[in-house]
Amino acid sequence: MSDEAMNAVGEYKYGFHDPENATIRFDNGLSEQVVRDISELKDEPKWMTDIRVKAYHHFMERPMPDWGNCNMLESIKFDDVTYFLRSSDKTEKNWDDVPDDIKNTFDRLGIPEAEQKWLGGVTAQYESEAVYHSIREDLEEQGVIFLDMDSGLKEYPDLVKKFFGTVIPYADNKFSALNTAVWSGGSFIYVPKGVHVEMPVQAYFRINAKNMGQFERTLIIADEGSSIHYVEGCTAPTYSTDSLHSAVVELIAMEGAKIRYSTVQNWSANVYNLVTKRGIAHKNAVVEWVDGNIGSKLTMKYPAVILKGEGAHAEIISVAYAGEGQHQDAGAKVHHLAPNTTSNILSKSISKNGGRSSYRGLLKVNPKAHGCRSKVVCDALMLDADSRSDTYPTMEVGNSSADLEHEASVSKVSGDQLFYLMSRGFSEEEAMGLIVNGFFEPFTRELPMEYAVELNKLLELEMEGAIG
Amino acid sequence: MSYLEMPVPNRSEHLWRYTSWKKIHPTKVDAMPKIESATVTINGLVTKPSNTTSMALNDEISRAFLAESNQELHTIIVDDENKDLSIEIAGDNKLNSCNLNFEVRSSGSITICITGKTDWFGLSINGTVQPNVNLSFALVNDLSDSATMLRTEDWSIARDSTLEYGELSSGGSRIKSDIRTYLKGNNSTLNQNIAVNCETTRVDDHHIEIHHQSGYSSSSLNVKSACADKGHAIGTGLLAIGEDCDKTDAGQVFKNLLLSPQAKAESIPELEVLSDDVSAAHGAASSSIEPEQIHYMMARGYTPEDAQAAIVEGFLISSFAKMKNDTTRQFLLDALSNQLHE
Repeated sequence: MSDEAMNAVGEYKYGFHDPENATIRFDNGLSEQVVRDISELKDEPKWMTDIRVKAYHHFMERPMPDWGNCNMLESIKFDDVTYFLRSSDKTEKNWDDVPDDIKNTFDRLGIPEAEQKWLGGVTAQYESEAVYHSIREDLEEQGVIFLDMDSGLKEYPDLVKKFFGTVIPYADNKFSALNTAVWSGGSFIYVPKGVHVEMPVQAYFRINAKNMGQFERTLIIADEGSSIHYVEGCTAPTYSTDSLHSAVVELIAMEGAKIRYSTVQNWSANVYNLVTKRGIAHKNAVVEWVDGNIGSKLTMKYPAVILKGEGAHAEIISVAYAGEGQHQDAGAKVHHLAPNTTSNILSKSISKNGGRSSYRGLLKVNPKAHGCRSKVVCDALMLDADSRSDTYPTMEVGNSSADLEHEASVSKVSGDQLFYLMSRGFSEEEAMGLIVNGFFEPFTRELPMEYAVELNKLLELEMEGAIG
Repeated sequence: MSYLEMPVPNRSEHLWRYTSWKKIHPTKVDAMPKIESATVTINGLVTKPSNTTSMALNDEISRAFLAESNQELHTIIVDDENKDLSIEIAGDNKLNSCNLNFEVRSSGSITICITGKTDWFGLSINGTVQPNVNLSFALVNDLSDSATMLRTEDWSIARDSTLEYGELSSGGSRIKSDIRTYLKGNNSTLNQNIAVNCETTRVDDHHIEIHHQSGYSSSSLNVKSACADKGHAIGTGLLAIGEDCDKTDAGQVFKNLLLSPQAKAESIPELEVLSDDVSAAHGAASSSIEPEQIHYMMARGYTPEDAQAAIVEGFLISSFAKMKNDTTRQFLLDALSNQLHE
């Protein structure tokens, strides 16, 4: 990588890239023909092609959002993006069959090791499609479906048709329209009634090629009384040109079900990360988003939960770290539609070296939603005078019996805390790193241990040079 | 840019999200009606406007509209000879408005009471609090039940000065208030306390911006809204701390009490911070009256209705508890008592 490129994107642990060995690569740019070609290549049913084409037209007609970081959004060059790139002709079930260059990448990221140790299943997506997929036999025997989304559509078309786009329709926003038009890869999960998937299942998304757009689509359905924990990780190489990641994630938790969706997003600082994530919780169901945003140039991500059934619960914990040139515009949305629903939102952000972190949230209580309770806490830590922190919360209360609280604070690292740690032998940098790790602790304790350890390491790397 | 050249604001804008410009304009948005001046009485004397409004610098639509639709301006100086002002503004025409410009040169107090049977009332206030001055300001909106009101306020606070601000908003049927304060000097202070009472179908939309433009400044905003029947209270806030504003201390709290199933409340206390050595916090809470509280009062002889009324009164009265100036605090408490017991 050139010095110029390195300066543009900064130090980044996963910034390496492999030579591009695409079996199919579309020309850059988006058109109806590109959308139809993706669908044809995947041999999709007509209804899916039709949705894609409708979504494409909606995307073209819909203006860019006029809120958030409009300058950064306007700088996205949609015509320079590659909308489909196939690196491997099939999704392998045996790790040894994955092409060597791709396998090496995931080996460096530690995916196979993690699978052996503590995962119930893994999907590894490289560019537009999954290259490796596996699920533990005992889960398969219990009827758990865990496939990449393309295979899900092929093998369970009726199930996909029933739920696809029901939580996030293509017209929801400009980027959900883009995703619906060109989606490729992602995960499809169905957990049968009463089945509890004890070990987390994981998907790992890697962008390797320059100017690549990754548009995975994930649909998770937890049937009555079931539970699942899905973990997602993301990285990309550092290039001097920008890449685009625009995913859509739909979660459906039926009566009494529980879905936890954990993300540690660590894109390089040249990736636009514009993601729509939303879950529906039916009666007594629980949807939890555990969302970590470390990298990217611009992230706009507001995990949402629609509490549709009585007694449903939403839990959203998110952290964001905004370094030089980064804007982490993250937040959470909860719609209380049914009585006696509850939600907790905890958001923590750190801004450093001129980075900007924003919390943008919505808490809405429907007039018929009696006895709702919700608490929102946003804490922001600013590590220098060049950084910025914003909070844009919205509370709309349409029912008098609702009990809602919101609190937010912005502060710097206390001199007393630094002094205390330094008086016990830590350098100022180490002390700052410990305080930052402690600040994020409510988030990391919700992650599987290996992810938490990795996140702490990432934060230490990001914190290098934070002092002086 | 004049009003008629301005685009109608989009409802996606934070300021216009809940009360569109169309709903607050007295006629049609592409019209510039002639609006009569309200009668202004200061310390018992009816006063005439002394200046005309400046239309050159308004780039915000409601400010431009108020300046152009009625160009008469009252410039009022608060100094050693004129330090405690009691102002009554009465609007009894179909469309009324009033433009006030305060130059605060000495410490003192201003109380304003707005009354009148009008369909539409516009109020524009500009205030400059000069260095080393403590001003206590109180405003009561006691318009007739059918009135729509548009109000803008722009306050500038210089170094070592304090603006103590109190407001009781309970008159009119639809209110849009846009209050902006700029803390421009070191050690400037704003203490802002607002009580909103929404009954029947009253809609009260407050947009409150506080801009810290200098270090060592402090601000505190406390908004309490009680909503009964189909009342609807909206509180949008922006607390902006600019660059090089270290040692700023700022806090905002929005509290809503919902008293009926149809009552609604919206709170959006936004925060934008560009300096790191600051203390900034905001909070919002919405809740109903706990049945235990009603039960406690009933055990002491209150009827359920009286118990609720007493709790609401206590909730709103507490908005003004921290106001230090006896004149303004008593003015607000008397007005609140009159309105709740009329």
